[in-house]
Amino acid sequence: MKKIFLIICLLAGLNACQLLNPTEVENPNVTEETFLNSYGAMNAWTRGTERQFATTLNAIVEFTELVSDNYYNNRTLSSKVFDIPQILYTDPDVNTIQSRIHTLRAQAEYGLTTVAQRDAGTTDIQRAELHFYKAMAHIFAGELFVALPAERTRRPLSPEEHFTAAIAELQQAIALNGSAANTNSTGYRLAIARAYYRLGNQAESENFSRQVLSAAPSYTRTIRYDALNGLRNEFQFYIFDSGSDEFQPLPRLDFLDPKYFGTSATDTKPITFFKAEEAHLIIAERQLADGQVEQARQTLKNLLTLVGSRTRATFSDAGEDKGKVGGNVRLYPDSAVYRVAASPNESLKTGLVLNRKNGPVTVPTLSGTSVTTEVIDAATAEDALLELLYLMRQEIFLAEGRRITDLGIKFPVSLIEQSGNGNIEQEVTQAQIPSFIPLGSGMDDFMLDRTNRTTVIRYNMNKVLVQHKTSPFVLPFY
Amino acid sequence: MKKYLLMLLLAGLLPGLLYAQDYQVTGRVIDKETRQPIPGVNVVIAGTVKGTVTDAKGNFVLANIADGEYTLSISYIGYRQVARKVTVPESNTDLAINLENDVVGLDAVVVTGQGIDIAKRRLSTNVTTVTREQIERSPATRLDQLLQAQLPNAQIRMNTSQPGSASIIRSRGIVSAAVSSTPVIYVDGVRIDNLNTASTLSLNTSGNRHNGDASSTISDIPLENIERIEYLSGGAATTLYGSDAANGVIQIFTKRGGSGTGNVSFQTILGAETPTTDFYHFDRTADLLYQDAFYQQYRLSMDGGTSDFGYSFSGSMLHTDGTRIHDQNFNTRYDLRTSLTARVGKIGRYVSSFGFTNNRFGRVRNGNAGGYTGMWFAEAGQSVGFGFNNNLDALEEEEYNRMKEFVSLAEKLQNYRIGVNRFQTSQALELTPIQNLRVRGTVGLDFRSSSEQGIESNQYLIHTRVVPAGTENRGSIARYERRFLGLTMELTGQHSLNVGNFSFISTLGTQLFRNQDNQAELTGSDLREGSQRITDASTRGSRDFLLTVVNYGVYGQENIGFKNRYFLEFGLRADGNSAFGENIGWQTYPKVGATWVLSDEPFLQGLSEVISSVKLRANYGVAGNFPPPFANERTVAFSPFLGASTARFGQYGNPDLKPEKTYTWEAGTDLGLFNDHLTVGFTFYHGTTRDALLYVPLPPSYGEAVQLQNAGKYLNRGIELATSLTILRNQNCTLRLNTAINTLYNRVLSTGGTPPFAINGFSARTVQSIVAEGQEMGVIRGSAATFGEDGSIVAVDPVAIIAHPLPNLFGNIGLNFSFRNRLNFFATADYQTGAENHSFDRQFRFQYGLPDPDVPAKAIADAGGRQSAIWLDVTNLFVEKTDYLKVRLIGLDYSLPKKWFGRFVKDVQVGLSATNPFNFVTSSFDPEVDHSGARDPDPNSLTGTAQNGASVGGFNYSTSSPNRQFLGNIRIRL
Repeated sequence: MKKIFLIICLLAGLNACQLLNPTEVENPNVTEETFLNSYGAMNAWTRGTERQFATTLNAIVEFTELVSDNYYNNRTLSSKVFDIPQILYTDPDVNTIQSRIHTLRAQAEYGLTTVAQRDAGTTDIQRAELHFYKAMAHIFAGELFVALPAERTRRPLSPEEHFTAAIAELQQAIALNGSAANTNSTGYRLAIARAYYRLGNQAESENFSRQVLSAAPSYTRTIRYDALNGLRNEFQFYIFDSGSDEFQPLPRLDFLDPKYFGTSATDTKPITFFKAEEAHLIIAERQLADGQVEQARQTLKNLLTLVGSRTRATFSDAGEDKGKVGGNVRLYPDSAVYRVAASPNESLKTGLVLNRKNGPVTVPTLSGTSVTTEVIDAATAEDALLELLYLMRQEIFLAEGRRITDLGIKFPVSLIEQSGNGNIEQEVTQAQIPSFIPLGSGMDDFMLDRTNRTTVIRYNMNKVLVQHKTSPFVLPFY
Repeated sequence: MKKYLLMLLLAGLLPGLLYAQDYQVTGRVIDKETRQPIPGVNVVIAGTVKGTVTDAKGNFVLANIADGEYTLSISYIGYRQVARKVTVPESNTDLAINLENDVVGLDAVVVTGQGIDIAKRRLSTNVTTVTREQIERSPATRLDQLLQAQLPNAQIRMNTSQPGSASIIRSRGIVSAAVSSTPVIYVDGVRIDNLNTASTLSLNTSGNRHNGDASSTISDIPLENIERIEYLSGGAATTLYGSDAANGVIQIFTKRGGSGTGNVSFQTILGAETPTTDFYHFDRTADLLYQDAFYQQYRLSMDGGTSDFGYSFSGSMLHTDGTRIHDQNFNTRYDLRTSLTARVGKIGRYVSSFGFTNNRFGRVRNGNAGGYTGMWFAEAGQSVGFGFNNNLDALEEEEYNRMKEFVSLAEKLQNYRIGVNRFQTSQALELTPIQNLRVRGTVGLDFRSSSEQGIESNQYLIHTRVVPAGTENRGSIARYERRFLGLTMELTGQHSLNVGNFSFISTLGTQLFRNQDNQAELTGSDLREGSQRITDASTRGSRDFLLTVVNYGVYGQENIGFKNRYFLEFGLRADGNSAFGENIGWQTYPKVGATWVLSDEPFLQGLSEVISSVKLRANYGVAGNFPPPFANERTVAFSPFLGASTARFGQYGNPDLKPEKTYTWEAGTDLGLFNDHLTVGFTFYHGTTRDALLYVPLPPSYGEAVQLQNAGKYLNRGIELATSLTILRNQNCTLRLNTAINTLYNRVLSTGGTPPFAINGFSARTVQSIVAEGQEMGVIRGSAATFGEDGSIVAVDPVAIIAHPLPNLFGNIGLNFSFRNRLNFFATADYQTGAENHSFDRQFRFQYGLPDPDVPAKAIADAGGRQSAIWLDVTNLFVEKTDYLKVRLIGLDYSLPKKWFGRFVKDVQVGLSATNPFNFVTSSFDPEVDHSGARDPDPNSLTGTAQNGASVGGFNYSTSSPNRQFLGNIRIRL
C-alpha cells in the first residue's frame, strides 16, 4: 500500500514537468506561410510596395542629386565621391541604389504573383498599382543604369528594353484601372510619356503628355514619408534637418533650396515624382526638335503659368549658414546681395541667392524657376530656348532625382551583382559619364568673390548639354 | 549569538537531514616557507561532501565526524594539494598542515570543461586562474577591467572612459566575422548575459554604429564575494561547452561559506579619479571638457560557518562624479552577493549564491555622434563649425573663455542616463552517493534589466545650433528598455576510479541554457522643456525586439591516467539549438588530448633541483559559435507606414544554417625550473574556423538583401608563452616577475566568394574595418594617396588596405613583492606591437584646416590650399603604429602590526593604488581607445548596429581614454 502511495505521489509530481518547458522558443517573426494565410495580405503587401518605392526614391534622390550639378556634399555624411563624379561598381552606394530598384521590382512581382494568387480579396486597383510600381522599377533601371537584370541573376537589360517593359506594365495598369476618374491612371500615362521620351519616341511621348494635361492640368503624384516610423525623407535631412546642412545647391539654384523642410522632429515632406510640368516640358522639347520654336515658346509660357500656381512656403532657414560658411568647407554665397553668373562668359544675375539669416525665406515646395516670360521672349534662337528648357527642367525637378539622366550619366552594375550573376560582363560594370561632363567636381565648382559679392559658376551645364545635343546620351529627341 | 540563532533556524529547516556525530577534526594550515597561516583553504574529507575552509588564522574545524579512517584533501590555489590521512578519534586534532607553493600548478584543482573538478596535471589544456588575492588587490569595478593584464593570453581593451561601455576581449585571434569575440561567462555554473556590444535597440550617443559607447553587460556583473576566476582561451579546453565556446570561457566562482565563529571586514576606498590627458592634441581640451573627481567605495564582508553550514556575504557601494564636467559621467553602484552552503543528509551539500547589482550612470556624446560632440568639437577641430578658431591652444584668453562658456552649457544640457538592475543566482545540489562518484545539479538564472534614456531639449538643440532660436517643438526623448533572462540547468556526474597504475576520471553531463532578450524603444518628440516623460511628448513612437534561444547539450569526457604521469583524455559534446536551420540536427564537438608529466619519470628524478616539473601536452578540440537566433527562417517583415501596417521581404531564410566551428590543435609544455624559481608555460595553437557565419549579400537582382550563411574559413595561430620568475623567495620576502608573450597570425582564408564587407567603421568612402579574403580580419580600408617627389598627389586608390588593427605580438607583465606577507607591492602592465589604427581625429583636424605634419605642402597647394578638398584622398597618412606598454595598476598593501589594535581586531590593512598611471605608446592617440562597435551588414536590421557582432576596433575618433585612479584604502577585519 505504501509503495502504491509512493508511486502515485511520484507520478503526480512528474506532472510538474508540464510547467517546465525551457526548450520552447517564443518566435516573434512571421513566416512567409503565416503571412500568405493571413487576412488582408495583399493590402499590407501593396502598402509595403509603396513603402519600398519611398525607400527607393530616397536613395535615388540622395545620390543622384550629388552626382549631378544640382547639389554638392559640403560635409562628411553620405557619398564623398559622387560629386566628382566618381562612380565605381565597387561602391556600396551604387549597390544600394541598384538593390532598392530590384527590391521594388521583386516586391511588385511577388505581389502580382504569389500574394495575388493567395489573397482572394486582391482588387484590380491593387494589381494596377503593383504593375505601376514594377514599371517604375523598369524606368529607374533604364534612366539610371547602363544596364540591369530584370530577373534574378539573369542577363542585364538595356535601358531601351527597360523602358519598353515599363510601357507594357503601364498598359496593363491602365487596362486594369485606367478610367479618367482614377487620378492614378493619369500618373500611369505620364509614366508612359516619360518612357517614350527616353526612347526618343516623339509622337507617343507627346500623345501621352497631352492626355495627362487634358485629364489633370495640374497633376501631381507624390510619395509620402513617415519620420515617426523611421522612414524620413533623407534628402530633407541633408538639406535642412541635419545640424550641418550637408548638401549645398549650385548657387544659381539657391533660391529653390530647401524644397523639403521640417517644422518639427517628425515633419518630413513628400517627394513629387510625377507632375504635369513634365508633360509641358516633353511637349516643348518635341516642338523644338520639330522646329516649332514659337509653339515651344508658348508651351514654356504655359508651363510658367503652371509653375507660378504651385505652392510656396515661408519658414526660417537661419541654420543654413553652417553649411555655407562654417568650418573649412567650400564657402557659398549666403546673402541676397550676391549676383550669380551661370558661367564665366555670362552675365551676373540677382535674385538667385536668398538671405537666410534675417527672417524667414519663401521657397517653392513643388516647382520653381528663375525663368520668366521676358526671358523666354528674349531667347530667339532655338538653342537658346532649348537651354532655357533644360534650365527649367533642372529647376523644376530640383531635388527629385531627375537631373543625372538629363546629363547622360548612368550607374554601372554593382560588384555584388557581378559576384553572384554570371551574366554580368565587364563592360556594364563601368559607369556612363559622357566626355563633356567635367570631372574633378567641376560641375559643382564656382568662383566666389566675397568682396564684390559675385559668384561665377564654372560650367553652365545646360549650355553644355545643348552644345552636345546630338550626343546619344542626352536630349533624346535630337 | 544572533548568528548561532540564525544557524539554528536554518538547521531547523532541514529536519531529519542532519545527523549528529561525535568528533571533530581540527587543524591549522600554513605556508611551508613563510610559516604564515593561509585563510580560505578548502579542507574536505575525500570522497564526501563534508568540508570546510580555514579561517583568517588558518584554522579549521570539521565537526560531527564519526570514528573511522579518513583522508583529508587540502587544497588552495597556488599551492600543491595535500592528502592527509586521519584516524578518528586517535589523530584528529591539532593537525599541522604545511602547504607548499605550486607555481606551475600541476596539482592545483580546477573546474574545467563542464566537469566538477580535476587536477591540472591531468589536463592537456591550459587553465588560467585569477586568485582571490589578485581580485581583492584590484580596485576595478567591472570584470573586464579586473581581468585586464591578469590573463596572460587575452587582450582586453576598455575603449573609453564612459561608464558601462563595451570593451574588446579577445585571446586566440578573431574566430568569427559575425559574432563578438567576447568569451561566454559563467557564474557558479550559470551562464550569464555577456553582450559586449550595443543591443539592437539601445541609446545611441556615438553615431549610427554606437561606436565607442555601446552599453555592455560585462560592466555590471556583480563583482562581490568572488573566490576565483578561471579562464579558458578556446580550443579543446572549451569543447565541452559546445556551441558558444569558440571565444573561450570565463568562469567565476563565488566564495562558499566561511569558517569559524564569523569574520567581518570593512573596507573604505577613497581617492581621486582624473582624466587621462596624455593623448590630447590640445593642452586646453582637458580644461574644456574634464574635471578631477572624488571616488568613494565602501565594502562590508562577513563569513563564517562550520563543516555543515557556511555563509558568506559581501556588499559594496561606490560613487564617482566622473571626469566629465558637470558630473555627466557620474557612476553610482551598489553590489551585493550572498553565498550559503549547507550539508544535506549524509551525501549531499547545497550551495547557493545570490548576486545583485544596481548601477546608474551618465553618458555624453562622443565619437561619431555628429552635431555638437565635445571631443569632436575640441580635439577634431570641429569647433570651427560653431564659429570658433579651432586651434584651441592659440586662442586668445577672451575667445577661449567664450568657447569655454559655449562648451560648458553644451555639456551641461546633455541628458543621457542609464540604469541597470541585475540579479543572479545559482542553486546547486552536490551529491556523493557512493565513494568516488560526485553528482552536481545546478539551476540558476541571470536577470538583467536596463533602462537607457536620452533627452534632447529645445534649449540644447538651439544652443548647439541644430534648430533656430525660438524653436519650441523639437525637444525629444528616447528610452530603451531591455530585459534579459538567462536560465541554465545542468546535471553533471564525475566518477573517479583507480585500478592498479591506472586512474580513470569519467564525466557525463547534460546542460541546457535559454536566453531571452526583450527590448523596447519608446520615443517621443515635441517634448516640453524639463519633462522626462514620454507621456508628455506630443508625438510618440515605439519599437520592440525579441530574441530567444535555447541550447541543449550532452557531454562526456574520459580522462585516463597511467602511473599518474601519462594521461589521455577524450571528450564529446553534442548540441541542439533553436537557432540552427531545420535541416540541421545535433552538432557534435569532439576533443582528444594527451599529457605526459615528464618530471615524474624516474630518469629525471636526479635532476629535480634543476627541473622541478615538466609537463608535455597536446590536444585537438572543436568549439562553436551558434548563429544569431531566428536568422535561419524565411520571414516577412512589417513596418508601420503612414498609419498602416506594411509587408515586405524579411529574411531570405537558410534551413541549412549551423554553428561555425573552430578546430584547434595545440601542443605545449609547462616547466618548473630551479625549484620552481622559473616556470614556463608554452603553447602553440593552430585554430581553423570552418563554416564561418557570414552575412552574404545576395546579388541585388534577387530583390532581397543578405542572408546569414556558413561560408567562411579563417585561420588563427600563434604561441602563448607565460613565464614566472621568482627572483627572491625566503621567509621574509618574495619577489616574482610574471611575463606573457603571445603571437598572433590571423587570416581570412575564404569568404566563400563574398565580396569584402565591413564589420565596423564608417561610410565606404571614409574608413571601414572589413573582412576580405587573404587579409587579416578587420583590416582597415580607405583611400591611399601616392605622392610624387615634390609631394603632389599622383594617384588615389579609394579602396586600399591601409591599416592592420590586430597586433601580432601582445602580452602582459606583472611584478609582485611581498615582505613577511605584511607588505605587498604589485604592478601589472600590458603591451602590444605590430598593430595600426587610423586616427579620425587627426584626419578631421586636417579637414577643418589645422596643419598636419604628414600631408605634403605641395598636395595642399595643388588643392588651392583647401585641405577639405583632399582630406579623404589622403586617409592613409592618418594611420599610425599602435605599439604600447600600459601600466594598468601599481599598488601597495600593508598590514598594520596587530599589537596596535585590540583583540577584537584581527587585521588592519592599508593600501594605495594607481590605475592606468603610465602609458608608453608610439601613436599620437590612445591605441586602446579604438572605437569598437559592430555594424550590421544586414540592411533590414532595425538599427544598423549588429547586436553581438564582431569587431576588431582600429579607429581613434573623439573618445576619451580610460581614467586614472589614485586610491587609498583601509580594510579592517574583525
